[in-house]
Amino acid sequence: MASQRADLTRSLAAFLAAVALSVPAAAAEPAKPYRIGVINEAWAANHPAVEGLKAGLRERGIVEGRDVVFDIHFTRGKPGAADAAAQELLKAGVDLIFTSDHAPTLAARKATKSVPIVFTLLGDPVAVQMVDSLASPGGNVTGVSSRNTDLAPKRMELLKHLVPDVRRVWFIYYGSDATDVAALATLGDAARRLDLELVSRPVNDVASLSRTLKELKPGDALFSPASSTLDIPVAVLETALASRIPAVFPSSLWVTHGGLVSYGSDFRAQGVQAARLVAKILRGAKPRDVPVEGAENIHLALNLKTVGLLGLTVPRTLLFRTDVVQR
Amino acid sequence: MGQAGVTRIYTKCVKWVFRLASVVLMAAVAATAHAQAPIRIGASVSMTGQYAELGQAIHRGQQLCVKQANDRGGVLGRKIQLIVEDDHSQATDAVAIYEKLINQEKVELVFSPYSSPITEAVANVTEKYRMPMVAAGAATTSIFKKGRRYIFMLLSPAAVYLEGLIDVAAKRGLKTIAVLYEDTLFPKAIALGALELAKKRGMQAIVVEGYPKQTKDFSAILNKVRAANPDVVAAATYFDDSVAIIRQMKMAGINPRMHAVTVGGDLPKFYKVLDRDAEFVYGASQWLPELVTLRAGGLIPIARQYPGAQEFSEDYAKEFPGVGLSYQTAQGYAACQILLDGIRRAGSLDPDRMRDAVLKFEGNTVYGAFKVDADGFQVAHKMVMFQWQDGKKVIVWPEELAAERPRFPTPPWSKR
Repeated sequence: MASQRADLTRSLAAFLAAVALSVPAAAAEPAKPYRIGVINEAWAANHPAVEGLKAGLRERGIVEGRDVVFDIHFTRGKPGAADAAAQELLKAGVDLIFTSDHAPTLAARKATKSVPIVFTLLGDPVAVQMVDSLASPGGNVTGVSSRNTDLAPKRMELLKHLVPDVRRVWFIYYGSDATDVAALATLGDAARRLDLELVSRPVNDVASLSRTLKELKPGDALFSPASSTLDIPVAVLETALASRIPAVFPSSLWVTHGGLVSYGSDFRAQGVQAARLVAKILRGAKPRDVPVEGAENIHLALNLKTVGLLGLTVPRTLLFRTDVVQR
Repeated sequence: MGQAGVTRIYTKCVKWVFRLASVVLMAAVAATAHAQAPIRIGASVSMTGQYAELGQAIHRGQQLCVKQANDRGGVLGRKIQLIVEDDHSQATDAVAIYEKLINQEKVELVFSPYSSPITEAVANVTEKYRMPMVAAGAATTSIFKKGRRYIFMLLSPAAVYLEGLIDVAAKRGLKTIAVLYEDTLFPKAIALGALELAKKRGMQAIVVEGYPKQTKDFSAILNKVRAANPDVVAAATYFDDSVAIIRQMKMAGINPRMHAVTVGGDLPKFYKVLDRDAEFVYGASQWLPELVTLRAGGLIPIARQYPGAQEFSEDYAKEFPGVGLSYQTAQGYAACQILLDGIRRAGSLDPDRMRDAVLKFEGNTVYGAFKVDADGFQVAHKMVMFQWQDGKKVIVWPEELAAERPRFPTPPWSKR
């Protein structure tokens, strides 16, 4: 009986979701699934933010295949590739574009002023003029801010706390990423307060990235950017592990694969959170009226294996505050 | 001292110099001869019989590893000579082969055979002669828990082979499972592990059936499965039975929401033989070539966990053009890597020094993580689960490595 009730509840929820989604369409015809275009900088279709979006929509009774279909473009971190992806999505007639990181969001916004865009993994959407304000985005763009810029000082502080001897911190970022450029002042202030030297280096191709990473010396640390353009976070991770250099990352995903420490929002959770905004827009809300949300899941993650590799000792106070411990 | 005395002393000195030179020369000749004599490594290979497909796949890995080592000058300055014989997939033949290899052929080291039953039997021989053996094709826990000192496990244990299937099924709310297995050491260990995992996840095993080796007709067992109508059918198999079970499930119209086979289901031949009937079938794998280029969450390359695997895949394609690369080949290759690494780090072929070297090894090979406990039991390696999707093996578990989601539930046979 309980299972019948659960089935009935599920069916009812699905029916209501389908009805709600079909309102803008012609009432007499069966509802055609909405087409959601996706652009991100991943190397496969399973970017955690996309997986989170799908899960979040499912939780709202919006079923893939029946209510929505996805047209996923991933650019493999290639600069400029997002522009072509945005054009292709518009040609395909997508109803909404879901983006992660700065370059894909910028490409989508340049490509259309009318198709709704919902972003994730964007550090400071106001600073990079993606929206007018968080409360009233103004155009066809809204989304979930990773709060990456706001969290950068805390990230720097954690690095110093974990590696008290560190003197010089390298921030290597893609030169055309407006989010990272906008974060420079905040990072510089944080470094000064902690008596650290910040070495900020914009790079524009893989060769300059490799050259820059070779300049690191023992005693240095790395501060990874969030965006995957040029695959910089992976280069930071590989260099950090190979050369035993402490590195701090924006999300726990990196820590589960060997990164030392991270402080920031979970990529998948941002996708789940963004599903709420996507559902609102599919049901008829205008992006300009849907406030940008700050990421809700901020986690401190620590990889104890890497701690051991670097010969560090984790202060007990820091260990108590850690949300995700990778052993 | 007179002239005669000086001459006597001179003559004595000359004799000593000649004697010393002779000794040095003989030692040098002996050393050179030793340096040039290859290290003879013996193995039985299942070239024919039930395990032929898988045994040959393992052997290709051994051959490639030996070739590469020889191309780089060998080990400890000596080339490697591989001496193999066909065990016809029979444990008794394999035991006789290892006795012969060690006592008559005077091999200095051994590679392992394929399959748990054969490894179990052979381990008694290699243990008797203190021959370190990295088991390239055995995942049954009990083999490594009998106090043997010279056998080391490369694979994840059988008990976790179907962990991915059970995890995906439980997360999708499936409640009942049928577990079928060849009633031999390894498949039975897989089945028992699956039953334990299913129980922990609240799933009920409503059919549990073992069948003898080389069973061809599964109709009696499948009748029971059809009558019970489980959500999941998990078959702990080798190649021939994996194909037969899928074919006969189709004939009997058995259509569970998920169904899996184990060994054999990953071979390219599995799809060639079954064609569309292989679609939606899940399989457990210790390793897949795709892992080399895969990124976790689409972002983080996991190749670091498989160092050298890219080169291994490329070299394999050159050495065995047109022959599909399966995980058994990576096993044969990695077991050889571990053994040769053990020799290098031990600095000799002394069994106890090699044993210590292998026990101390903690790291990653082409095949993934390797670390054994004091019993030689594998504690670091991880499994993956794939599903045949549009003719390709697609990793669907664990989620962090899954490039695609499982195609669930399995549609009726007519719609595959």
